[in-house]
Amino acid sequence: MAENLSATGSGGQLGATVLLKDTFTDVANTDLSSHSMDIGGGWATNPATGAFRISSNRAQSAGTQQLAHANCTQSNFTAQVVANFQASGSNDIGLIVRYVDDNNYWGAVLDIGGGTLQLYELNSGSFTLRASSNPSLSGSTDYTVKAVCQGNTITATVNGGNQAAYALASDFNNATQVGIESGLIDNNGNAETFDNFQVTNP
Amino acid sequence: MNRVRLLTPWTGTGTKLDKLRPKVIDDHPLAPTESWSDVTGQAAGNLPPAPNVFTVELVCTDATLTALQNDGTYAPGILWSEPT
Repeated sequence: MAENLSATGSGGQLGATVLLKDTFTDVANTDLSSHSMDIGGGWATNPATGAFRISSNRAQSAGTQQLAHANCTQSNFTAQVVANFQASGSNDIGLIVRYVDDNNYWGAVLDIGGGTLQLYELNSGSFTLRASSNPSLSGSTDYTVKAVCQGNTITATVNGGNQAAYALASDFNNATQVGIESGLIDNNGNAETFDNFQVTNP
Repeated sequence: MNRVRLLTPWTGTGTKLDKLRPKVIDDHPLAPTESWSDVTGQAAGNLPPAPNVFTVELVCTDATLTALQNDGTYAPGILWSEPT
């Protein structure tokens, strides 16, 4: 059931309807695919099991380039998640929006190796960078990654700034799936974590 | 800060770690507070384009703009710039 933030004042945009929400509160090691969201119908993951598990009431990636997505029922929305990377080296960690399948969606991610916030399009399995910005990133730090999808415009920000926007995002602009993506994990076995996932009206 | 539209080739193989991207951001990596956006809307399936040149818009510092203006690869392709 959707939640209206104008009534609750629970930290989101006033007047926005919460379409999906997950604080990842659950028993440790619960697989995300069997975890119940606070609001929403639940997660689908790739791989189907073992992509993410609950750890300290966060979603923790369990491998490289894992995806989890859920249906928010509309294609115009604002998605956000708190992402924390513990790994060094190249990583893409953040949101996937307007997900169609594993080869077609948009990503708003932190690229740790390049030190950038990237807005990319994955189309027929090919990755194309459409916009990026240069925030200051460091490990073991929480970053709020947000993506606003409105018509053909997708705007990504990190901690409310360092905007990366693309105004010609006509591909997949009717897709209603949104979720999280983990990148590459370093050789020390460190992983990325996610918290406070929320999707509202734009 | 400045807004700059310029022509750039595209590079990359389209993999996750080597995304298709404008070559100018490899040659002039973004400084803090800088950003860029593709303003062409070329279909992903037709990237890199042929001929390999496209327009992007940068939001960049005076130092980056000066560097671009002094770079023989990109200076002829600067379409316009304006302070923000």
